[in-house]
Amino acid sequence: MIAKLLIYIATFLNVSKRYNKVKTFFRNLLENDDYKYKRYFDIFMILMVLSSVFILLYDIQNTIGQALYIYDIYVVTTVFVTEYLIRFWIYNDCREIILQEAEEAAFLKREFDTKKVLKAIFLKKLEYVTSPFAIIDLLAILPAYRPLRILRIFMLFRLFKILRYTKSINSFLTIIKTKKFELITLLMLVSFITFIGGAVIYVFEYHTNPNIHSFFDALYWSLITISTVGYGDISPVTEQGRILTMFLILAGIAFISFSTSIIASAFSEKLQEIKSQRIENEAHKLSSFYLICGYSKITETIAKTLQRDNEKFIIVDIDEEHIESASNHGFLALKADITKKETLQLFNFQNVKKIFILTNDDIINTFITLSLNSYAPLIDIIAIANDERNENKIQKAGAKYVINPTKISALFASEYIGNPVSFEIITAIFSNESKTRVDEIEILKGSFLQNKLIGEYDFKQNDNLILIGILKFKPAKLYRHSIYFMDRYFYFNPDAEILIEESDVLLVIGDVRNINYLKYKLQKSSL
Amino acid sequence: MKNNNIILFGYGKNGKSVAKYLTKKDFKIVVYDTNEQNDAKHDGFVNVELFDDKILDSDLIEMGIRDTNVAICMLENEASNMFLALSIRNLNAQIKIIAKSGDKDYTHRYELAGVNQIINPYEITANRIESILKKPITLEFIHNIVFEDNNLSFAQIEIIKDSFLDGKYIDDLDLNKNYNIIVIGIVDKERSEHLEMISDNKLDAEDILVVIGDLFEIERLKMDMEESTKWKLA
Repeated sequence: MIAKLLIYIATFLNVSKRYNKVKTFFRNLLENDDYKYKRYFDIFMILMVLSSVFILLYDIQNTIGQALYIYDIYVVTTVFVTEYLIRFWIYNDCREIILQEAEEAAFLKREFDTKKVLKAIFLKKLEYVTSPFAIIDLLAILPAYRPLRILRIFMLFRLFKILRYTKSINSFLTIIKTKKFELITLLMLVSFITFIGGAVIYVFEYHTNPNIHSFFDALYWSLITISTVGYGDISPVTEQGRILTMFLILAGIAFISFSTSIIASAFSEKLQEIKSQRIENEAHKLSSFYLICGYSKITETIAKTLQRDNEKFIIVDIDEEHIESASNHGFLALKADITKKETLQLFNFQNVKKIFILTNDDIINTFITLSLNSYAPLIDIIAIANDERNENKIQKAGAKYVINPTKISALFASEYIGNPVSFEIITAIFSNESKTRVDEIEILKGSFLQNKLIGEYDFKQNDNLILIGILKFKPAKLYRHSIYFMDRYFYFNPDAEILIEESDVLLVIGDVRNINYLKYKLQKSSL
Repeated sequence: MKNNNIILFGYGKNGKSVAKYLTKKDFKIVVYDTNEQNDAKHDGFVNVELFDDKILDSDLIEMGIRDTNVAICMLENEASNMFLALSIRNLNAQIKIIAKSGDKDYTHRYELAGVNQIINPYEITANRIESILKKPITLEFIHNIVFEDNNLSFAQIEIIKDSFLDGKYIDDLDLNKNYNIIVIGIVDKERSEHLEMISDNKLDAEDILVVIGDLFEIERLKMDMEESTKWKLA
């Protein structure tokens, strides 16, 4: 009977969309760091904890008003209890245990073992109740029971609760955890020496020292001495006691420096990890950015340009030195192997605008191109080929643009020598300094140029611009020689009869102010 | 300009590439390199000479630097390269000097040394990437004009005295309709030696028009211009 009921409830819950939705919501809210509302929840809880601790401290010297009292006793407690119960609920899915057992029983054609299931559920929930955070949560609820004043000390556990909601303190704890063995050894050693010191002083001075009344006093003195704090409320009076003190102090200095060095080394070991974790988090949050693989001189120049234009980008390199030099320039740089799946998963590839692959090694460039092209085939890749011979290999690997620095520098030089005029034009066209430039104007939907013939609008008369050509998605109806590039048709010096359509791009030359004004007019008319 | 003698110093990765493209354009180059291992001779350069890093002025004069039009300094070592450029400028005030430099911090020093054009591969590459991001179509278009065989080309047309272009305004000529040529700039001798992008000037003899257009059409315009002078004289 109970078995049937259990199975019925479990099956019902398993298919209930609403139940699952609610449970997922609370899971996200309480446990998923990437869930956007978790932050607000965390802040809310921290404020609640702080306010209740403040009320406790204020209450000691002053009397609190009725409103605050109700808030402290009922509101805070209710929230804490609710949170505790929800956490208890979402810790695991009991229905899964039941369904698994039901399936197994059906498969083996045996009876449904209710006892086993209940035990499994109980153990699982007990696992939660005994976890450190759950204990802290429970203790934090206790101070609400006012009649027992001693419970108020558990108020401090409310402060521990804050640990749950803050990341930095958590990472501090994880660092300490990595040195667990060393710290435990040290702790054992310190307690051992403290005990010996306490025992010896107890034996020597219990009868002569007026300040030592019990063994606890002796232990207390020993710890105060060994920690080099030395209050002086209890001090040795016999010679033996003083000799012991000297040894204890020496041992104390050794212990303190030892523990300091353990923690310091743990931090320096982990610092890099924490740093890259922070960058990983930052990378995950970036919206619409460029991904740059490899830090080289070219990267440096490009990064400066992007920074100037307020574009967001992240540099990924495997070399420690490169990363350091990138960080010194103030760029967001992550030390990771971009070809690894774990690294790729760090980024939200929907937000990547373009990928640059700029290492000094063509083999690595090819490999990265292949990896990224298979992982995110829709994003344009711009890659460097350091050797001209590797250019088409990288292109085949999936790079949309491949640049060979030596080749374009050589072309640059030979253009300068061979065609100084076109060299001057090209530099003027691409430089950002010259006022006259060539620019691309896209025909927006609904703008005033859409569906007009080239001849119907006089660019020279109206905007003082010269139309060099038009890039069209569809070939023009009348026969006209076009250049085919970028999967589109380019018409140089287009005829008056060519139709301007949506998304066509006009290539114009003119003063930058005229160009911007035309762009503005197009935008305005398209609204 | 062609057949002017060019001296290339340094036959490393960059030097080699420059030599290749200049040879493609039928320039005659003399290559000098400090390293015997660099196989300029294998690549078909007859005039391959060795020279010492600490080059003396007398050596440069012997190389004929005073009668050379262009010197390309592509030594790997920045200090030697700069020293070389300075020595050359010292001996020949007219020569065009092109120098490679891998560091932007040196740009000003090279300029002081008298270099006309600095080639910084990193910067050129970075600029190229920027163009890909910002002006992909322009880049592709220029690429098509300069490097592909589409018959389109940049060209300079000098206005001949008494031709039908002499004394006219650019706007009145309708060169784009009549010749399929787009005028994008002019070197107006009356104003300056430098190129002015689109301006509506009156054309005078010896002005230079800078145009983009079909090579045949450009030739046709030049021929028509010559014809028109005869016609005018007659």
